[in-house]
Amino acid sequence: MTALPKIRLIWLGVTAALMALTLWMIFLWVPTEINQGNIQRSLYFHVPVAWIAMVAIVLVAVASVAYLKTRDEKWDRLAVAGAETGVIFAALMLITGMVWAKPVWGVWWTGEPKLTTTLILFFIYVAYLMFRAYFPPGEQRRRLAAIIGLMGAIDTPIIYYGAQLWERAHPSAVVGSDSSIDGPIGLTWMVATLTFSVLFVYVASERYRLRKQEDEVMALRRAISLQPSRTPSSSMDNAEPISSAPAGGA
Amino acid sequence: MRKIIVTLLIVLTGFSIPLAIPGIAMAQSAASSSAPPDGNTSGVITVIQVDQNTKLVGFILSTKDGELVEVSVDDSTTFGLENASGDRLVSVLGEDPAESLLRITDQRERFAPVTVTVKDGITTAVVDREQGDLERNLGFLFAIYLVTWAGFFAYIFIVSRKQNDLSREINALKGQILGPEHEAGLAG
Repeated sequence: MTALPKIRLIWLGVTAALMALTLWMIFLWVPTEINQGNIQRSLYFHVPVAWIAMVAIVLVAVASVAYLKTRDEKWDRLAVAGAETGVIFAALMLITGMVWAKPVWGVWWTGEPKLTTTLILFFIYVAYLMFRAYFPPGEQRRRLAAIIGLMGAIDTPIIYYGAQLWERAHPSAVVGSDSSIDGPIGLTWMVATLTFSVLFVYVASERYRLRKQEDEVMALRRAISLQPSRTPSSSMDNAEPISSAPAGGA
Repeated sequence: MRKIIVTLLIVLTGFSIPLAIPGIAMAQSAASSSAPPDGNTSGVITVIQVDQNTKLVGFILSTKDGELVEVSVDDSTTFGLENASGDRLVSVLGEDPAESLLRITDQRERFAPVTVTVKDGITTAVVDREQGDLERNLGFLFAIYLVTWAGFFAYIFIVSRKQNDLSREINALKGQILGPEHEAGLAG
């Protein structure tokens, strides 16, 4: 076993252990919140997921800046990994928020600013990924995607401070703020946030690795296309994945 | 292809802007709320109104139906509110205006619902919402955890499968470039 898979395995183990601890705290340790009842337990997932969705777009922005400055493809890969993981977290944030809102607010969705800006964040992720999916590969795609990623991060502070700015029904920020929530509820929130942060690092690193493999395949296809005697009709653009490849190399 | 992408981006942007405008407009037009009817009205406090001496004069409730209700209070309004640590205040606004404001602020920050009682157009009481069955809504709770786990496992499964496919493809392509030596090395 090489060093890299060992680290990944350890990280996965840490994530699983932390998740088990978090679930134990949520369902067996923390007392039931007196006003909302058991549905409040869903916020121990919703809030960390929302936090990570915002952190992910900041990661995309930072990686985009680094790419624009250095033109090193590793930063572009990191931005893709952040965006794709971020869109998963953003989708889960919206879904879990809606399922919580129905019994507590009586509606699945309202047009309040925090929810609206969060939905815009989701669309920014989708637009970023659609752009990358449809635009031809190359330096221009990476550069323009970096600019989109940078612009998307502008939404983050608006979401974070949305509840304070507009004084609407959505509760104020819990993670990273001077919140008055403490005791078992605050501790459970902190542990859940840590757990989801570790999970995010794991998932994003796996996506980063996948992107690296995709780049490697592209490079190999390009190399094969430059060998006319071995592959006379192949080219980078029309090459098909080899389905009958020998196994055992993974 | 570029035209399609640009069109989609414009559509997405165009879709987002009208969504944002009503939300922002709603935030700025809290005055569009109505007075509560006689009887009990429950909801969460979204806006607190004070006078120039920072004395509580009213607040806006967001009810379960999503309606905004503007509640006015005076010195005779009774407050029966419990804070996060379980300490209960029972007083009228005129006797302890500072503590009443603190409790209302605490309720808003904790997103804790209140029930307002109005009689002949005058707010007589502001109390914690009557506690219901804490075990309710378990179906919603189950749905949230199911969706979250299903989402993560599905994504990790897809990424993992793609990684395996690409690993095989990389080896096959290397085999094409390096020839039989690479294939033999893999087999060995």
